[in-house]
Amino acid sequence: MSNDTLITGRPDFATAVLAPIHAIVGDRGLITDPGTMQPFMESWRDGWVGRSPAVVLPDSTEALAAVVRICAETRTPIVPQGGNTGLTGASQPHADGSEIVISTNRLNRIREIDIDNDTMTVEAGCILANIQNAARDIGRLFPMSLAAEGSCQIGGNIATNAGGVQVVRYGNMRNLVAGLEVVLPDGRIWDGLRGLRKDNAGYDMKQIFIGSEGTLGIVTAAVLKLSPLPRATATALVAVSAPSDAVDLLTRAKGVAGDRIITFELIQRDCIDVARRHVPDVPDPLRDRYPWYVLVELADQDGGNRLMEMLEGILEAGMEAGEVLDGVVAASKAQADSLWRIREGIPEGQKREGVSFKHDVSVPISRVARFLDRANAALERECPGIRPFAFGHLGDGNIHFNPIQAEGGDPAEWKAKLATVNAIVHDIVVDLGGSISAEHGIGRLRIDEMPRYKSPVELDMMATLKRAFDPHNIMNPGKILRA
Amino acid sequence: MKILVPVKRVVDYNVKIRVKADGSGVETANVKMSMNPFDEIAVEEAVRLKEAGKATEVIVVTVGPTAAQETLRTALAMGADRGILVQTDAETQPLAVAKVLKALVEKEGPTLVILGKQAIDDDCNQTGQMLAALLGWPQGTFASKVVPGEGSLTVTREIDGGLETVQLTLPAVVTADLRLNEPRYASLPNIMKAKKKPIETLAPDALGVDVAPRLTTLKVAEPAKRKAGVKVADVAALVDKLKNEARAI
Amino acid sequence: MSILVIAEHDNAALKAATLNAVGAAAKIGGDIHVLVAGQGAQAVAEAAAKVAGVSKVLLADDAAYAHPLPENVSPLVVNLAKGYGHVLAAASSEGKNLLPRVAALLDVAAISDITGVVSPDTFERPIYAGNAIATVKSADPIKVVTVRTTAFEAAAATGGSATVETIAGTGETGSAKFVGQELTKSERPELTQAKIVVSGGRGMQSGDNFKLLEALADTLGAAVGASRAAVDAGFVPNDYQVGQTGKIVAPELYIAVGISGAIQHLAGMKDSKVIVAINKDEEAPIFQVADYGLVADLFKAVPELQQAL
Repeated sequence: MSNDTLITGRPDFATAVLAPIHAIVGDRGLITDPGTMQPFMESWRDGWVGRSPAVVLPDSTEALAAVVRICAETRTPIVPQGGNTGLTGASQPHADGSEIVISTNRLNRIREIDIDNDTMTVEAGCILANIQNAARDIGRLFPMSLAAEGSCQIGGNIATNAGGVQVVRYGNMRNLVAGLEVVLPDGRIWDGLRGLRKDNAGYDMKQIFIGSEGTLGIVTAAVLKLSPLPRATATALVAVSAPSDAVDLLTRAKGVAGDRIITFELIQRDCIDVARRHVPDVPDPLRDRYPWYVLVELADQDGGNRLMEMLEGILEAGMEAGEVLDGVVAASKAQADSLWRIREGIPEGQKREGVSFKHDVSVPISRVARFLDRANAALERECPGIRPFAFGHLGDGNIHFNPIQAEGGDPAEWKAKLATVNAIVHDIVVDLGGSISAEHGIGRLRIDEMPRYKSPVELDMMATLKRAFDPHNIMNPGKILRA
Repeated sequence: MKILVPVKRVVDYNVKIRVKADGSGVETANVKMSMNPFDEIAVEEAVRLKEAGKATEVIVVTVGPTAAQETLRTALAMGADRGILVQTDAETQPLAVAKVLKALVEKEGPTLVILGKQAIDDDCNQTGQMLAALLGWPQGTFASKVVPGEGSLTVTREIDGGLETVQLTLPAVVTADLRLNEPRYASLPNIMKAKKKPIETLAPDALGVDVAPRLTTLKVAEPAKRKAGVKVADVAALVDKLKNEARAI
Repeated sequence: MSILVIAEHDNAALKAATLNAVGAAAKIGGDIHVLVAGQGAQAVAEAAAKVAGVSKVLLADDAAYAHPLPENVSPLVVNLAKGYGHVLAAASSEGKNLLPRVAALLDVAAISDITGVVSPDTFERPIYAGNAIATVKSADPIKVVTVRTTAFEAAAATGGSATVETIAGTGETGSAKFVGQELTKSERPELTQAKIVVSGGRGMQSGDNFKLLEALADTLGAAVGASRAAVDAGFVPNDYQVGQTGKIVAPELYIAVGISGAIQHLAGMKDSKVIVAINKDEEAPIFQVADYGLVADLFKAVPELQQAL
C-alpha cells in the first residue's frame, strides 16, 4: 500500500478504526495517551524511536483477531510487539505515526502443561523467564535462555527465531516449537497448536512464521518442547591466547563431553573490562590478564561429582596441549552465577561505553578465527584506532562483532562510518560462507543490506511469500523486506 | 603459626531446597553440594594470612560423610596445605563438631582456628563459640577484619548497628562474616596441584568423641507461605498495615 | 523451673530486644528472672524490674561487664544457669555471641533463633535461611535458647515490680579486650546494607522527581534505589540500579514507586521481607509480589506517605 491511505492521512481514523477497536478491547486494552505509550515506542538499546496513534492490548486470541480484521478492512498497518527487547528495530513503529501497535502483553496465560508429552502450551505474551520457571517447577527445562529473558516474551522469541546461550546444545527457537497459533493478516486464526514431534502432513507451516519478525502474521500461542532438567552443571572460565585455541578446545570438549556442553562462549578481554566498568559485581577471577576467554558450561542428568571431574579433565588436557593458559572452575553455584555475570554484563556495559558498530554474524565454527583476524585487520586499515570488541556463541559459530570507536574520538564522526564498517565486516562474513544475521534478525537494521547479500532467487521467494500472506502489506511493513 | 580451618559441606547456596514430603528433613539426594559460603571466606582468610607470611600452615578439616572430601579438595585448591576428614554419616550438631575440633586442636596445635560464622543449612551459628568455650580460648565472632599482632589478634566484628573491635590473646577462635574478604576462585593449576595434597581420614571414636545428637528433629515443614498481597485503599491504610501488621516501620 | 533471660543493654537503658526475649519466656512458662551484667547498670536493672512478667532481676555490676564480652560473661551465666531450666537471650549479635559459649560450658546443645515454642522442651526454628522450619526437641536438663525477636510479642515495659538482687561477678579472664565500637551513623545508608529501600521507576518521569523519594527515604532512614528503566532514562546514576544487572537487595522493607516490576527488577529485590508497591497501573506485575499495593498517583501518594510517617 502507498502511504496516502495510512493513518496519519486518514481523517476518519477515530471513528473507522479506533472506535471499533475500543469496542472490542475496552479501556484496558487501548492506550492513546502519549506518555503511557512511550515505552512501546522506543527500543531499550540503539535508539529506535517511533510514533503511533494507539497501542492495542487484546486479552485473547479472538479479540486480537477481531482487531486485526478491522485493521485489514481499513488497511491500517500493524506493528506486532512482545516484550520490545529486540535489537533490530523490528518491534517499534516507524516515526511517521502511520501504524498502530498490537501488544501481546495481556496474552500471558500458560494454557496447558503436558508432562508425558514434554510440552507446554503458552500464550505469546508469557515472559520467557516465567516459562522457564514454570518448566522448572515440574522438573523440566525450557532451554531458551538469553540476556533479556526477564522481559522478552515468547511470541517475540518465536517471531525472531531467538538464539541465546544454550543453542549449542538445544538449538534455537525453531527447534523448540512443536506447534503455533497465528492470527493472519486478514484476521483469520490458524490453530496449529499440535504437540507433535512428527508431522509430515504437508508443508510445515509453523516454520514459515518462526523468524518472520511479525511480517506474515501475529503468533498468539505456541506449544513448546521441554527437556529434562539437568541435575548438575559445571562451569569454568578459561583463558586462551587466540580464538583458534578456543576452537581447538571446543573440538576437544565435544569429543569428551558431547552434548553435555550447553554453553561455549568466546569473550575478548576488552569485553570484560567494559562490563566491569559499567556493571556492578562483575568479577575478574583470573590473576593475570589474557587476550581471550572462554566461558564453558556442562550439564548432565547425573547429580554427582562426575561432571566436574569431566570438565576438569578436559581443561587439564587443554592446558597440557597449550590451548588453555589458565582458568578457574566454579566451586559453587554462586561462583558459577558470578562467572555468568561477566557474560551477561557485556551488552549492558557496551551500551554505556560509546559508539559501537554491532554485527551479529555467523560463520562455520572452523572459520571463526579467520573471520576475526580478517575483519579486525581490514577495519584497522580503513578506520584506524577502532577498538576490536568481540564475544559470542563460539559453539554456534555466532560472534557478536561490535567494534567500538577510537578512544576520545568524535562520536558524530564515528557514527558516519557505520555503512562503511558494516560493508567491510559483512563482505568478509559472506565471503567466508557466513550470515549477516545469526540470531537477532533483519528488522529495519539490516533491511537495506539484504539485496547486497541475498541472491535474487532467495529475495524473490521471500517477497512471494510475503505477498501471499499479506497482500495489502499491513503486517509490520518495512521490516525484513521493502515492499 | 598453624591455622585450622573447619569447613562444612552443605546444599549449595543457590539451590532452592525442597522439604521432604514425610517431613523428615530437606531433600539432599542428587542436589548440588558446595562448601558453606562462610567457610569459604574462612579458608580465604587463612590462605591470605599464609601468603602474607603470618601463618606457616593451613589445615582444613571437615566432619561429615566421605563425599565431604570434595569440599576439602576445594579448600586445598584455594591454597590450604592439607586436609583432615573426620568421617561420620551421623547428623552432625554443633556441640559434637566442637568436641571433635577440640580434639583435633589438641592433636595439631594450631594457634588460630578460623571458621564460618554459621552454616547455611542448619543456620545454627554456634560451632565457633562452642569450640572457643571448650578450649577456654577467646572468640572473635562475625569478623569483618582480622589483624594479627604480637601474640594477639585484633578483630573487627559486625554487631547489630555497627562494628566492634576486640583484641584477643592468642590462641583464639575467629568466625568469618560476609565482608571479611571475597574468596578466590580455584584456578586450574591449583586444582591440579590440590589433587596431590594429602587428606587424612579419621573416625570420631579415634578422637574419643561421642557425636550423638543432643537435639531431636521432630519434623521439618515448609514455612508459612508468603501471604498473598493485598491492595490498600489509601495512604492511611498503608501506614496502618506497615505499622501494625507488618511491623516494618 | 524458672527461666533466666539475659538482658541486653548499653549500661544506661534496657534494649527492646530483651522485651521480646521475656515475651518468649512467658510462652515457655515459669518464673522469669532477668540477668543484668554490666557496669554502672543500676538503671537498667530498675527498668528490667518494671517489665511485665519478670519476678526477679539479678544485677552483676562489675568492670568486667562494661562491655558484653562473652569470655567474661559466660562464666557468670554458667554459674547461675544450674538453677534454671532455661537460659534465654535475644538472637541478636550479642545473644548469638554469648549463648553457644554458655551452652558448651554446660555441655548442652544450644537452640538458635527460635520462632515458636511448642512446649517447654520443643521449639520451632528456621533452617535453610527460613526456607524450612524445623521442630526440635531438647533432651538436655538446661535449654539454652536464642529468640528471634520479631517472632515474639514484646513484654510490656511497665507493670512489673520485680525485686533487684545484686550478685557478685566472676571476674575477668583477660583473654579478650574491648577496643572500640563504631555505630553506623544515620546518614542515608548504602543500598545493599539498608533496612529500608525506596526505589523509583520510569513512572517518576524525571530525575528531578526523585527528590520526592529522597525526602521519603530520609524520613524512613532508607536508601534510594531505582529500576533499570529509570537508570536508562537518565533519571539517576547507574549505581542506583536494583535488579539482575544492578544491585541485589533484601531489606526489611522495600517500597517500589512507579516501578512496573520487570522480572530483572524483581530478581534484585524479591527477597525483601515486606514489599510495598505504589503504581497507578493496577495491572503492573509489581503488585503480584507486593505485600501491600496502593493503586494511586505517586505524585500524590508519596508526599502523603511522608507526611503520615
